[in-house]
Amino acid sequence: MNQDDNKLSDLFRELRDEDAQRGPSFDRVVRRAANRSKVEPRVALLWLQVGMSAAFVVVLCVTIFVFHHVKKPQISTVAEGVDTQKWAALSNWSAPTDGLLAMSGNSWGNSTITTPTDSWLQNNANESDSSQTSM
Amino acid sequence: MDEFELRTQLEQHHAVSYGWALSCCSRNPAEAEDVLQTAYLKILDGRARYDGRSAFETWLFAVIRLTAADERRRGWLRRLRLAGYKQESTGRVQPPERGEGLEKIERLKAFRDVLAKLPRRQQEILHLVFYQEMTVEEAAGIMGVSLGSARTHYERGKARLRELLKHMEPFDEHEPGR
Repeated sequence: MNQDDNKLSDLFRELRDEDAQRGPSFDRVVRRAANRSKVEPRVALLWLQVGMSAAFVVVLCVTIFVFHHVKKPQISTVAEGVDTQKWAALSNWSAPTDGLLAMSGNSWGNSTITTPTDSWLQNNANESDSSQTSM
Repeated sequence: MDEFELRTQLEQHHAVSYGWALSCCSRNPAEAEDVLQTAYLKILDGRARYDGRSAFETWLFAVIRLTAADERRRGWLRRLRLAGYKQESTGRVQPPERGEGLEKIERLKAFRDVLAKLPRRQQEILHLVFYQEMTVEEAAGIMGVSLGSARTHYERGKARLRELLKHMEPFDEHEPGR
């Protein structure tokens, strides 16, 4: 150590002596520490109670929200019922040309369609009959 | 180490622990006592355990340093708690003794002011070496830095402190050893 270091040492020594005179006693520090260890759990318990209360309020709010949220599906069930009815009505719907489809199932034999040349066919048939008899 | 042994060791090191706590708390007595209480509480209820890998003093100082750093981080909460304590302790500060020279009081006040101007690491290393009379290596262990880094802080701190002391009037007339 040089002279400057000695000077610093002296200053720090003076500071140490002053701190030793003015510092709190060991018993006082330990006693205060012990008191704090008793008080701090109580403070922690207080915070726990506050936390629990806050949690209860949150749970209550969530329950109320969920309750209202559950009611909404009931409304949507009605809406779904209305939709189902719409789809059911759609299956009963009939187009104006549905009659044509029904006719396609009917047989054509009930009505006789005649054309102007049908008589020729009739005459030809009679002639052929007479020729056969003459022979 | 059982609780009785721990208490005995803490009591033996109490004066130097308080000095170190003061250094870690920018020489604020109320904060230093608060840090010391927390550190003792940690040690006595087993949250900080001494495993015998280093000297008890080295370990104790490291616990105090970490506690002070932790308290600094939670500064606003600590200030709130100390508000009441400061009022309570204001009237308890001991006046200077009758024979104590005014010059010495002024010199020490000026020295504390000068010390406060140094960076935290430099304050810590100078305190550990000059106030606690430790080696730079021991100081490095407490501060949790490498030996090289501790030496750098030590040299720079000493140079800066000398520089600052040159400009302080009470130190011009002060001669060491008197």
